[in-house]
Amino acid sequence: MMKKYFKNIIYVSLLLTFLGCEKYLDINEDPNVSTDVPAELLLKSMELADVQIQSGHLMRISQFWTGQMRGTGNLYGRINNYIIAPEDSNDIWAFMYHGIMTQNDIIQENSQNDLVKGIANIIEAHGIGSMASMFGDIPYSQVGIEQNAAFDKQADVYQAAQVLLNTAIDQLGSVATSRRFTDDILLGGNPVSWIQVAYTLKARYYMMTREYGEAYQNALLGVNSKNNSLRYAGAYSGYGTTNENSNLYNLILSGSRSGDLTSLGSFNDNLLNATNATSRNNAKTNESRRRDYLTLDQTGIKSNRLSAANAQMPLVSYEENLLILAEAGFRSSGFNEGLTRLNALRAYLATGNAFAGDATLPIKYDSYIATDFAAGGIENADNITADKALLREIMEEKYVSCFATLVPFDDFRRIRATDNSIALQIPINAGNLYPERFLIAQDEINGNSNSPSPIPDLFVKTQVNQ
Amino acid sequence: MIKKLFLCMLTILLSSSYMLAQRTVNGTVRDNTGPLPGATVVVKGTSIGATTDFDGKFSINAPNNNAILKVSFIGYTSVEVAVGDKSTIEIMLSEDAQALDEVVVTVLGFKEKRDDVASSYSVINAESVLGAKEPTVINSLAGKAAGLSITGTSADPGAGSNIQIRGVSSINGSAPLIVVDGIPLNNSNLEGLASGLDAGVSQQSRLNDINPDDIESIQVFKGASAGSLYGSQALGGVIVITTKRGKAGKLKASIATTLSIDEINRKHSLQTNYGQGSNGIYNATAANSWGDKISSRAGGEDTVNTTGQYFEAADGSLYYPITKKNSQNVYTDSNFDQVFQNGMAQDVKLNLSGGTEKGTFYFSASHLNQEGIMKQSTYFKNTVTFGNTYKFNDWLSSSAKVSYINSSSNRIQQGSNTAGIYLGLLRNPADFDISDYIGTYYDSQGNPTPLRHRSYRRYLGNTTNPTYNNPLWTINEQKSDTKVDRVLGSIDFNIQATPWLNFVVRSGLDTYNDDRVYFFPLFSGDGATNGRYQNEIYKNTEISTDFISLMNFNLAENLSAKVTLGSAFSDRQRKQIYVEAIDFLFNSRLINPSIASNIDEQEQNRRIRNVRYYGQSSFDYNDLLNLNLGLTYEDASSSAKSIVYPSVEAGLKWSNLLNLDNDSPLSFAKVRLAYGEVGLAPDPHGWETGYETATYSGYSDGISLTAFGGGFRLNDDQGNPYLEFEKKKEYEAGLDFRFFRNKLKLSGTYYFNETNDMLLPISLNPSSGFDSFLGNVASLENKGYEFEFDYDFVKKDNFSANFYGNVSTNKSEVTDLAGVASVDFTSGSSIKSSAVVGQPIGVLLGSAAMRNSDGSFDLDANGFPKLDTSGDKVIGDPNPDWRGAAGIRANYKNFSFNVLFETSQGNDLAERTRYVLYGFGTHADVGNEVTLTQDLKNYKGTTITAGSTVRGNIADYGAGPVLLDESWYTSLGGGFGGSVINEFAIGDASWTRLREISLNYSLKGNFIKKTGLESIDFSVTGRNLALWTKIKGIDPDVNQFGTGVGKGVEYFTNPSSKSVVFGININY
Repeated sequence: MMKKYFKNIIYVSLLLTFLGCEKYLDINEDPNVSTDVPAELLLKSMELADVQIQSGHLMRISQFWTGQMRGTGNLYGRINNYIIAPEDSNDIWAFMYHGIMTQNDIIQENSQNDLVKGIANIIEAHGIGSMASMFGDIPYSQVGIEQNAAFDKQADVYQAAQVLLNTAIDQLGSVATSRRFTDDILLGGNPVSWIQVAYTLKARYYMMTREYGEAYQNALLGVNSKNNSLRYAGAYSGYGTTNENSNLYNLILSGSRSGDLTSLGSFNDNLLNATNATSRNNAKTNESRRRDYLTLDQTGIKSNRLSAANAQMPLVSYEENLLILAEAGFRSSGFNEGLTRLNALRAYLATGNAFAGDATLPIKYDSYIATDFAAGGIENADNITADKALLREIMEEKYVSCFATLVPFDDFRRIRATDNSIALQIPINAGNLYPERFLIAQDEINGNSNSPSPIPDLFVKTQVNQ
Repeated sequence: MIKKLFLCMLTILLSSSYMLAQRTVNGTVRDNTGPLPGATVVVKGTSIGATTDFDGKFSINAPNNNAILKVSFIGYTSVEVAVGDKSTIEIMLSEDAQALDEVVVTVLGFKEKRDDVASSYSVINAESVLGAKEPTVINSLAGKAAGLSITGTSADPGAGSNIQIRGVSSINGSAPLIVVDGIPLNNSNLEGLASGLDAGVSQQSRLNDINPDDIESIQVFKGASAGSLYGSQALGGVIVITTKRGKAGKLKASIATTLSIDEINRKHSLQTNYGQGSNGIYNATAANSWGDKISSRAGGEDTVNTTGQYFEAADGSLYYPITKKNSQNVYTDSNFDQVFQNGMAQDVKLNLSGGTEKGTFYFSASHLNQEGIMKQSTYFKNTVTFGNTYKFNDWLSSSAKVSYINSSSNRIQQGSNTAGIYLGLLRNPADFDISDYIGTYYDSQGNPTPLRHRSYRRYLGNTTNPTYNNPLWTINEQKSDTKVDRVLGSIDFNIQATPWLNFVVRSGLDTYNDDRVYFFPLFSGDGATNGRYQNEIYKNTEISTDFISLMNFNLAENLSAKVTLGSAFSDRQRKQIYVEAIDFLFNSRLINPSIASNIDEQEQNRRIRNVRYYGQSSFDYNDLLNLNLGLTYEDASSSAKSIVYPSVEAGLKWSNLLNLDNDSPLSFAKVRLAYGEVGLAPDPHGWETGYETATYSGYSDGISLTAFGGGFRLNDDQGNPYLEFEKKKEYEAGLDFRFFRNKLKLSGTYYFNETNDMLLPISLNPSSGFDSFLGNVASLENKGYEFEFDYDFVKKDNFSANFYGNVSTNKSEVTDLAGVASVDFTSGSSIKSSAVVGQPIGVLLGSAAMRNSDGSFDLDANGFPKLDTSGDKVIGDPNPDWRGAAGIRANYKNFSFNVLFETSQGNDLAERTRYVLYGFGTHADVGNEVTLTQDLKNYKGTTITAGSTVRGNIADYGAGPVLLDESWYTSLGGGFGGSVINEFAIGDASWTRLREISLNYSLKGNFIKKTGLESIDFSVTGRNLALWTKIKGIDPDVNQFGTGVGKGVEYFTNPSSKSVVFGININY
């Protein structure tokens, strides 16, 4: 009797357990993380990734290589002298492909919000354009499609960035100009500002590919005021309140690597220093306050300097747009257009609103006139042609005005290729060649069979500068 | 499919009982104490059999009057009885002392005759566990079984230990499964967010929670064949612990107490000749001790400047800026004595048991109170256990057991941690007195800052950051408490459905709460300058249930079979809550987050469920051949696929073919062959790619989403919905011999195993859009020999003695890492314990010296080695070539004596403390003075002329003697990071130790009986009293990285101890 009873119990319980098994085991969903986040909430992470690409480690290195800063110790001391490993590019590549593109793919696919989609596309275009500028040929068209993405030609990447910016402009154009996306820490989700940024970026890339007419036309629609400039944390009120939302110069100059870099004694510092032989100060120009503002040193962190925890770092600026108009205008329309646009920038600088710095120090940016560039003029002491003298001053002004961005590295390489005679006389830190690019990331070399082998070294010009 | 198979098998087996019915014989089987339940009765030469019930009764169908009943029971001598015409038979069995020793417990917790088991295992009995007198159970297993290695982490009271059987079976860890009375016991050793693997404090191993006094025996099952019933939990082998139960009869009581006195067993030796500073010049804030010669100072009080800032210590002593160092005092010994002490552990254990035929009970309670060798380190533990067994009727019985454990411990910060004890103490210069570590700092305007931290690099306490902690601050001001509450409960029902069929239903609960608080007041090191409070709570609950049916058959004459079918369910969940409160609003000693201005809270949950169905059949042919076949089906919530583990074990007792008699030297011989598979389930919740918050940092410039108001990104580590079990296959072959009437026992085993499909995050190229992807990709293998022996060389009435021991080897090789260059088990850039293809697991990777093709050093122009900048090299192997232990146990009248030596040979240790102290100039090796007999160059290339007496050592790297001085020890020849030659920090850490020596005296006989007691035992035991090793300064049996897979690295790791333990045990 007992036997049968127990047999049945065992049969039934075994059966039940087998049947219930699948449900019993269905508990592997991760209880600690969300798997369905509204796509719009990814935008901020793309912005931070972009800030690191544009204003972080490699941008600082580009400053060592263009005389804007000096690497003086440890890793930065070695990199200053062009000793750099592919590992130093790893983070930036991860920020671009995972930090920006993977997230943007989700936004474009899942979001219905054209305002966010447009902004996200501009960020991607901003990132990939800088990547092409830094690394030359890079994976782009097959990213997200192939595990081993092919490397696209640099010019093709710029072209793709132009197309993406057009898409973004269309997306943002479809949005009421009064709409805002407040989670955007760069421009507060203002579609009008973002459209202007997109045009300036288009102009920037046309400059790189030397399509000056296109550059000029796009710059006419570009950033038209300080407030529409794209700046790191430009629309985040809590900027600089804790370490992890602070200015990147502030972080490195106050952290464990604080003594490893400085702007003091750099080519740029000397250029702005009225007492230095290479000074660009003249009867119409006093750079004292701007020099103070651009001082970056562990012992010189001040609230009115670019090293302040809450000093906004430029990404795509009004200054850059004005100077694209100046150079492209000069190249496509001639001397007068160039001069007019340069003076527009100087007038803006003269307002004192373009930068902070010690307010007790003077500023002076009087308008130039044509004779200033004629042989013997204040901008042509060495008697070159007026055209060359003007272009030289436009480029020098842009070199200073676009401090803290990758633009000086872009321009310096381009001008040496097109107008070497008026290129800035930036000293070479080691050997006898200027770096022409950054090294392809070690992680990419390790994992992507399409990586070039060997990778192009530091001194090989990228496609557009060959 | 599998379902059907099982049901089918079950049906066949159940229905096979209705066969053969001739004449019924009833009977009772007894021993001298009463009826014996569970004895086997078979009709000789047939497959007819029965098992006695709880009253010792059986009923069997005898084919005819000539039938002979063979009655056997584990631990008793079998008897044969002719049935004749009797219809009821009384059978007496007598205990077989020899056989009783040879009973083993299977992985499922059932008793089995030792000689019938074909898997390789070792038995560790209760006396041997308790005899070790270790405050923690795990350490008492050291040296007691071949292939079992126990590695300590430090002598912190209650610190965990790593248990490893046959090496590391997976890069994801292979701690053995602990099964207590058939129920898995959690033995985790969780590091947590607040205490890193490389720093922080030594965490506990949860197996140490149990009261050692509750243990009856421990068996270590090493091979996959034995573990395959447990599937993915048994990757690292199975340790089966059987606990004590009450026995029918009179009340038994014992009370035992021990007192242990502990002392540090190895000290780093420090130099006392040179002061703080560099380049031979004193500097009161320098990190290093490359300063002036102390004996060359003027003597007397230091010259100080009393006009400005100063520090007023708690006792009123005043410290002013030193303008000239005059004092010749050295404090190395007094500093040490302020931090270390003789530790002391006391414990009391009470044990009561008894019962009737119907039911028994068991009760135990224990209390441990330990103060460690580092002042302020403590461990308190209380345990209470209650167990009972009850027989409801002749077919249903049950047993239940509940334990409650409560412990608390204050641990001392250690390791790579500027708030750690050894880092601050050993880097401390000889001429700095640590005594006044706390007081009030007055700046030059007279503004006071109370409770300021005074350390050797900040002797005025004039900055908020002490740089390195004063070790007295570490022990007195910081707290690292852990409080554990744990409940273990188990219940099982045994249903005797038919004489040959038993059902067992078994269920267990294991739940604990581990509440850790770390407190660093204002002005502490380790980034806690502004104060830090951390609270980490683990709540872990595991429930397991087994349904088991046990069947015994006689299939034919001389062929019997046992079949076990079971299903098991387990549910393990853990919640981790972490609170970090930083930036204290004021200098408070209140240990509560309310004093902080910045509070962060995190929560992590994990849960894994597991279902297993298993079947095992063991066949015995004529007590000659044993064959065990097993099959386990398993599915886990974290695996995309289920898995089936087969196992086969065969044992041939070929001595039974030889017709041995008592005079032949060989008493027993058996050959064993086994094959088995086990696995490891993936960690739970790894299928999806979720969204996370993120920090973006290029180089010292991290910015975070959290700080910008929050946000998400899709995780850069891709989940994998196809994750499946890691799989281990193992082959083994063994021989067991007994000689000279079983006096000499020898057992040897060879094994080979390979683990495949190990989970590994594979780095992806950035343009794939992700950083890494977790896949079942890696492989490794292990092989080795194990050998155990036991020789009763004296066996007389009053005197017996035996010589026992074991030897084992294990050689591992990582065979596939899916193209990943190395997987690092430890953090840091100096020396890592890693997996590298073609190398043993855990090899030490680090920077090496440049070498020529012939292996000699490629030297610089001055004759010094150069740093090889081409990346990390394999510079050491922490795995021993072999391990072994040997001991003698002797009994003379009422005295008993035991001594056990243990050895580990061929293992390397990264002596990073020594190497870093070279750089700091505090190690004794770099405090020497030499007088040169010839001109020598130093590392800088300066020539030091013959006849000069300078600080340093003379060495020859192949190009003639050179002078090793500050320029060498502070560049390539000492210090930390990847730009020193870390190869020179590796030492041969082979060791041999006197693990245990003990003497017992048992007072018994009439004198004691008069007091109503059974006996009183007195014992004195020495643990770790002697250690022979080339490693100086620390017992090599420590590990900076706790109980993880990474090992062989020592870096300001807290030291180990040696102890003398006195015990009294009163038995009633």
